[in-house]
Parts: sequence; structure tokens; C-alpha cells
Amino acid sequence: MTPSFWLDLLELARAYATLGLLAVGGGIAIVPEMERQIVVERGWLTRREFLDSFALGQLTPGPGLLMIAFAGYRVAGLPGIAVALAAIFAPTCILTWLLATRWERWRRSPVARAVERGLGPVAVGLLAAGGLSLTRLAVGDVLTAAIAVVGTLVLWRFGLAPAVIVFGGGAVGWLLGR
Amino acid sequence: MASAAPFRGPGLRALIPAARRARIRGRLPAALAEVVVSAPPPKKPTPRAPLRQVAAAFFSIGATSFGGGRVVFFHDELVRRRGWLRDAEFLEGLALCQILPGGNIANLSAYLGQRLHGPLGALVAPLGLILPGALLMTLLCVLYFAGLRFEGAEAAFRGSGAAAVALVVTTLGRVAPRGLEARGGWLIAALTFAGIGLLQLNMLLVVPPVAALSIWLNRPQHRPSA
Repeated sequence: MTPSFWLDLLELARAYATLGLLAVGGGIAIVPEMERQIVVERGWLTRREFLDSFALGQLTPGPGLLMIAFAGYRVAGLPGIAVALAAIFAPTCILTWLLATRWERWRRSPVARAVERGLGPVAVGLLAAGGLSLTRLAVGDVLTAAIAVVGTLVLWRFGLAPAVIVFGGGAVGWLLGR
Repeated sequence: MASAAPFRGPGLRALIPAARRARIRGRLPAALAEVVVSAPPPKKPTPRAPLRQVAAAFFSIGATSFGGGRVVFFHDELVRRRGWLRDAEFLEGLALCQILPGGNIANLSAYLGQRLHGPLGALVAPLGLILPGALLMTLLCVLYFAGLRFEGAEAAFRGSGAAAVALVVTTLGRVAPRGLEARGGWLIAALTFAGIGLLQLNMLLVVPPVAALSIWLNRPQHRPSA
């Protein structure tokens, strides 16, 4: 373990902790900023590798930000993955946790009830907006539109586990869409 | 739809009838009355779910939540299947975690973990959520930089992306009735959707003012005592 290896890890941690805290509105919001830092400024990945890491991040279960494992691996191997993931997730999770504990003390006050009620329709609007941007991104031809519509009908009618629908859609896309 | 029974400690409120509470309160110095009569929530609230089950639930979300619309998996597992949370609580957490920086669903797991099993839950939930994907991603990384390419992955990706639209639409249908119950609910949801979905404005421009308006619309009302 040379000193430069540890410096690399430190730099990785710093870069990703900053990226995580910048990601207001979720991981997808910082993809352009990530590309700028990882590809253009630091040259950790080529553009092609970055795009592939993005696609694989979407294919992997769990947070899409797992894509940053790629640059971590490139910089410092397996320890790089651990450091990159810890740096991007831990600070914001701790921030959220602090908020959650403060919030629990307020739970019983009438104001907290108002906040819970008031945030309901905001979340509905956000979910609908997320659905729209997902549609813009994912539905582009007859096949994808059919998957979306049939998927909705099947899911509504039979209440399957969401994973079944996503796998099913992926399988149909793979069989018919190549 | 399963409604979660919140296991809250009864405190003294539940034990003493309201009329007597008022009488006791009248005889005590204000500060003492606050402590004795309107008992604060117990220091250690009973966890709603065993730690192991919390870990298992989030691990299973982490292992299955492919593609877009990942919050849907939280709703399916925690509200529909296990009945640990009410729709309203889920929506509240969702809105809060969208405003906070960072990966939304990692934040949501920390928030809901705290809700379900206190600090330990808040530690275990994000770990469970991230672990399966992190392991898979590590494997993919090693294979990728060893020169393997994933043919056909893009077609499968497009298919699962389209399927994710179905997930979001269905979940929207399930939670919207509860979310829109609030006063001015339709207006608030429409404003949020228009700002972020249609106009694609920055979330920080839209959500705080709209949320503030919505909370104000739903502020506690002073009702004449019956």
C-alpha cells in the first residue's frame, strides 16, 4: 500500500461525498455533474465507460447511484468501491436520519399532523412527475408503449410483485426489441 | 389495504380521562403539569417491527428493485405486504426525502428505518438496501474491466424501463386517494406535477413553496369545543 494509494482513496472519498451532498432531487439529477468530474476533469473513466456504468447502474437492483462503483474500482480496485459507496451514501443518510429523529419528537404536535397531511399531495405530484419523466425516457416506440400499458393492466388486475413486472418487461424487450 | 397499527406507548393521556386531566392540570404549576399530565412520548418508543424483519425487508427491496420507479418497491413491501406503515406516512417520507440531497431511495431507507426500529433500524435499512446491488455491481465491474461486454443488455434495459412506467402508474393509483385527501390536495398535486413534470423546473424552486402552501392549507383548525 503506497502513500499514493491512500491519497487516491482520500480523493475518491472527497469527490463522492461532495457529489452526494450536491444531489438535490436525487441521483439522476447529478449525472451531468458526475460526468464532468469523473470523465472530463479527473479522467477516471472514458465517456464510453461512464455511459456503460450508467446503464449497468440502472440494470442493477438498488440505488442507481451504485454506478459510481465503476470509477471507484478504476481508481483503487475493490477498496475503491467500498470507499466510493460509503462516501456517496453515508453523509446524506446520516443527514436524513438526523432529520427523522428530530421529526419523531414532533410527531404528536398538531403542526406535525398538518405537515403529514400537507406533504401527501406534494408526494403524489412528485410521483406523477417521476412517472412522466420515466415515460419520456423509456417509451419511444410501439413495443415499449405496449409493455407499459399491458404492464399497468396486469399489475392493477393481479397485484404482482413489482420485480415480476420489471423482469417480464426486460425479457420481452430482450426477446422482441433486438 | 392493511393499515399499520402504530405501537405508541400509551403515556398518561390514555390512562386519565380528559376531564380529569384538565382538573389535575389546573392544580399544578404549569411546567410540572406539562410533564405529568401531557406525558411526552416515551424515551424509547416500542419499535414497530423486529430488527431482523426490517433488515430482511430492506434487503429484499435492495435485491429486487430494478429499473426506474424504485420507490414503488418500498410501498409494495412496507405498506402493502407487511403493513408496517400507513399510506400517509409513506407519502410524507417520500416528499421529505425527495427534497434532501443524495440518492432518494437510500435516504428513504434511512428515514423509514428510523421510523420502524429507531437508530438501529436507520443503520440496518440502508445497508440492507445497498448490499445486494453493491455485490452485483462489484461483480459486473470486475467482469467489465476484464473485457466482458453485455450484449442485448440495452434491449432488456429498454423493456424494463417501460415496465417501470407501469409500476409508477399503478402505485400512483394506489396512493393518490390518500394523498389527495388533504385540503387543496388536487391543486397542490397539480402544481407540483406542472412545475416538475411539465415545465421541468428545478425541484428546489417548486417543492418548498408548494409544500409550505399545502401545510398552511392543512394547518390545525381551532374548533369550538364541543
